[in-house]
Amino acid sequence: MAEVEQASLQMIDISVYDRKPQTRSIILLVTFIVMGLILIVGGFWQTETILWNRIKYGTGSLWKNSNPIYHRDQPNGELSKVLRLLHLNYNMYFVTQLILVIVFLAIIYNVLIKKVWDEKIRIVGILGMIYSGISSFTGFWIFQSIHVIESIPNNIDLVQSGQDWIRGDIGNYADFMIYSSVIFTIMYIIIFLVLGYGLIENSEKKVQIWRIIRIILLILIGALLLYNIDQLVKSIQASNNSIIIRNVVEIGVLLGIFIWITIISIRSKSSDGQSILSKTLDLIKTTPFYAVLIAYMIFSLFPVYLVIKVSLSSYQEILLGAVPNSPLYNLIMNYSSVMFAVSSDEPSFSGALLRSFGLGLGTGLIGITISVTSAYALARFKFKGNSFLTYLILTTQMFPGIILLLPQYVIWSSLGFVDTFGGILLASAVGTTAYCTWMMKGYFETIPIDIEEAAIIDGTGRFGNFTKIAFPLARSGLVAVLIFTFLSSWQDFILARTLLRTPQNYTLPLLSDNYENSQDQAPFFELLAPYSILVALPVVLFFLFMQKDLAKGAVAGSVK
Amino acid sequence: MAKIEFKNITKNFGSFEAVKNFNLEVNDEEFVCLVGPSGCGKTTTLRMLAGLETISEGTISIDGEVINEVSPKDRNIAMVFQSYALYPHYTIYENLAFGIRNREKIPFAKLLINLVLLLFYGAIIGLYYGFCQLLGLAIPEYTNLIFVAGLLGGIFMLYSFPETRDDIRMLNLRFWAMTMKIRIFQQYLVREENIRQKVKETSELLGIESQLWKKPKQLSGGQRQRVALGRAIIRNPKAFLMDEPLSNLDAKLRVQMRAELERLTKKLRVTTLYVTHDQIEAMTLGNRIVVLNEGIANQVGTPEEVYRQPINRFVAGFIGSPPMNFVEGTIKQENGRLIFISEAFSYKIPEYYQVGLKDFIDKNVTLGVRPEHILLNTPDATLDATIGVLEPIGSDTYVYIDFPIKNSRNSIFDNLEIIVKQEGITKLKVDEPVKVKFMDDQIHFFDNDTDNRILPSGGLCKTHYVAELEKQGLNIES
Repeated sequence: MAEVEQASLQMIDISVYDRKPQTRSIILLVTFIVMGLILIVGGFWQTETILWNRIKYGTGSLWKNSNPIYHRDQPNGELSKVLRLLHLNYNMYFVTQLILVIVFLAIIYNVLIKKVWDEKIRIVGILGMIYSGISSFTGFWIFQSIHVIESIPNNIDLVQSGQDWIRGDIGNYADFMIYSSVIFTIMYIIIFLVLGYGLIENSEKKVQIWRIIRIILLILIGALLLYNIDQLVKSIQASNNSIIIRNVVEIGVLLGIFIWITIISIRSKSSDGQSILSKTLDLIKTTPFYAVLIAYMIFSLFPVYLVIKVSLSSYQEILLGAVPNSPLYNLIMNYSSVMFAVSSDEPSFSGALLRSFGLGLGTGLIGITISVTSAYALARFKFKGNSFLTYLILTTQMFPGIILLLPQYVIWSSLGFVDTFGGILLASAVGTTAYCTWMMKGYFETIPIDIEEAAIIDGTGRFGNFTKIAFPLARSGLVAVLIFTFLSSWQDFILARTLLRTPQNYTLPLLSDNYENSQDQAPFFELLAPYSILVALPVVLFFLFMQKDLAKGAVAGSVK
Repeated sequence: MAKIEFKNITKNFGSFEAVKNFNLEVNDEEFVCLVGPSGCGKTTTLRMLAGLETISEGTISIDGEVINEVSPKDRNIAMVFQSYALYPHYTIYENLAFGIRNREKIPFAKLLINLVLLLFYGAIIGLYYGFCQLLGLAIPEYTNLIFVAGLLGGIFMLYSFPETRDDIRMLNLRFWAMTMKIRIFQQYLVREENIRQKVKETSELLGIESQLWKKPKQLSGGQRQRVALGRAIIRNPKAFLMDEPLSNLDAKLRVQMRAELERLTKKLRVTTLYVTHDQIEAMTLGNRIVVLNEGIANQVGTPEEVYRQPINRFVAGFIGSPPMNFVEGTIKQENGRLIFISEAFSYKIPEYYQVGLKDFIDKNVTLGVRPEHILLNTPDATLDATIGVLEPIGSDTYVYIDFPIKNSRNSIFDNLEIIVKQEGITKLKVDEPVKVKFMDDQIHFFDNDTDNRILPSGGLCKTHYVAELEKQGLNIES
């Protein structure tokens, strides 16, 4: 026993061999984000389930003993929307409280057990306290609002009394709640980002991130500014005073932020010492060339602008040219209608989102499990039929997917996998495994065989060689393949449409059914646009941030 | 510390014979160099000993035990590769510790620690469900899927179990070390301590103890090579196998590392087999040298033997820098004395060679003389030549002298070029006429038919390959 303690103490005492693990901070951050995501997504589900139960059965609530009311209200009525938002906010508050608990636990662990108290932990602590103050404010307002709304008498028929109920106290409260909840949510996100930013140790990365953030903010604010000016002109023409004031205020705020960021950008120097201003002047000298490029960029990005504009307008604006509401109001209404709408026969957005996510992840995992081991065997082992199998796998890629659609349906339906989540999971996995194997084989072949020979002499067997040497070295390729698989199954429409019949089982791309209208009326464009943006968001973000790595990955392995 | 025996080793790649009937006995604590040009089969031989190539015919035995069928990891040998072959995703500490970990495996510790981790994970899930129940919230539908995915991730972690030093530091296994008194974890700690001790010793021996936490890509070439050596040393093998370890280094570093290698191997006293194409390395490092060409071992001997008494023309021309000069010609008898007549000059054969060359009168032979054994402008120099090119390299000068070859009409139409090595900076000038003398006791003659050296006492030298075949009573075929 003494030996063991001696040994363990010696393990702790090695300062000569000590080094600073930077990965600790990143693990902490990732844990926050992952758990937060799980809980937020779970929160969405909770909102929906509670609300749905409420509307359908008049029961199911956060407080066990409250009276079920509003079950006479229509599911998409104004009051239900407000209540939905409130429940969402409550869930977010709950989530943030849980995350705060984790943060404080982490701080306690660091301070009391490991006895570390440096700059980072102090910042995290202070931010956590600010954060908890703000979120408790939010919690207070949410509780108040829900209480007020639920105190509306039971026997009022809201449908009969029309929209008047919305105009009065409840209406003002609801408006205030909507705005404040959005602002608080944005503040939470900013605080999280600041936390994450503070934990990044590499200062070069910080500078890069700031640059990217500044550019994105400038573009967003510029677009919003233009839009608001446009709306301002329209509302002046329609002489609607309150909307004019609102628009002016928003323009003022946006302009202020725009000028502030521009000043910061101009005054900051880039990493090679040249100021942004002189760089801009250099740019102006090469204007004609860039003018053509910018014109083409505007031309190709115009549809994107249109989609964003549509998602920020209401149904009446698009079709009838009616007086516009503020884009922020439309933003919240449209996006929340898309994300949180609950209906008896239409599938829910969050359900489909989860299904798509699970599908992508499951496809990736199953594909990788099968393809990694087979790719290693094809790359390293010499056996008869090795090259034949490789070329066979390549040949299967040459078939267009649509040819195989009907046979696939026949096979899966005879197995009983149609209209189940497991069915489409299997079908997608089967489809991507061949590609995964091909890619992974390429990656395994880039690993020099010397290293594996050295490992063999050092005493690993075949399998040990794979797990300890080949697999860790091919991990970057694995990530690329995983991401590609995820994205391709995220966007997959045809196979999902064929294999899923019931709307309740739909994945995300199939939800466009929801936004149709009756036959002789236009579809709900103001809902279709946010939906498209949300579905395309992961793909766009991935390509935006991974351009360089993609280009590198495409040529990696081609030159020794 | 082992005796290695190669018996009739042959390796065929399809129809191509890479190694033909290789025989060698390496004694305990001996340093043997395998030298030869590219493609002569030396690396193949080494790899057959390591177990990375199958043996077509013959046996290899270590300490009397035949190891043809033994897998590489059980042969207890260590190899240093030309490209170092360090594990790029492990720190240097782990690179060194890798071999020991593979040998001292603790079967159940890994499983137990993973089970504990999974239990933690299950506790978190239970907490979440409990929380939801407590607050009256409905548990979302597909949460189960997410948690199962997390479980699968946990199972994946079985393969990335914190066995290596880097992972342990991350997870702070020190807490577990203090709290868990289960015997399996004690074994674990004892092994870790053992590894730490050995790594410390080896890294201090090689001078890399400050690099232990870096990754291979952060080190220079020389440091990487030291790590590769350390990886071989730390396992205490029966034999070291080195496959051209110094060829990836620049010239200056190569000289430095050569000296270090020599010091190290003398200190460690392990049987070593060293493969190289650089004959200078072979001459300086080896107790014995094996000269290979096209899969056949031409000569086995000490550096001095190989230098002074090469068995055939190939060995004579391979060993020595600059290489030996060869002149073709015939032996003629004139006034009872043998003379060597070539196109460029005729040379009186010295006394001690008169006996051996008696059987070669009127036959074509080749005269071989090393550049350092040619004297210029001495009083008894007889041959005439002109200076062609001068190459001063600082400590020596390489003088290229031309012997004019006259045709039947006695006009010069070609030159025979011979390299001479002189010490220091020479005073000679280009195109200057010069008198040449070969050192009489440093001449070699080679038979043109067999390329073997003619012995001064008579007969031809036998190559190692031929000698071994004769020992087994086989006939010489070619």
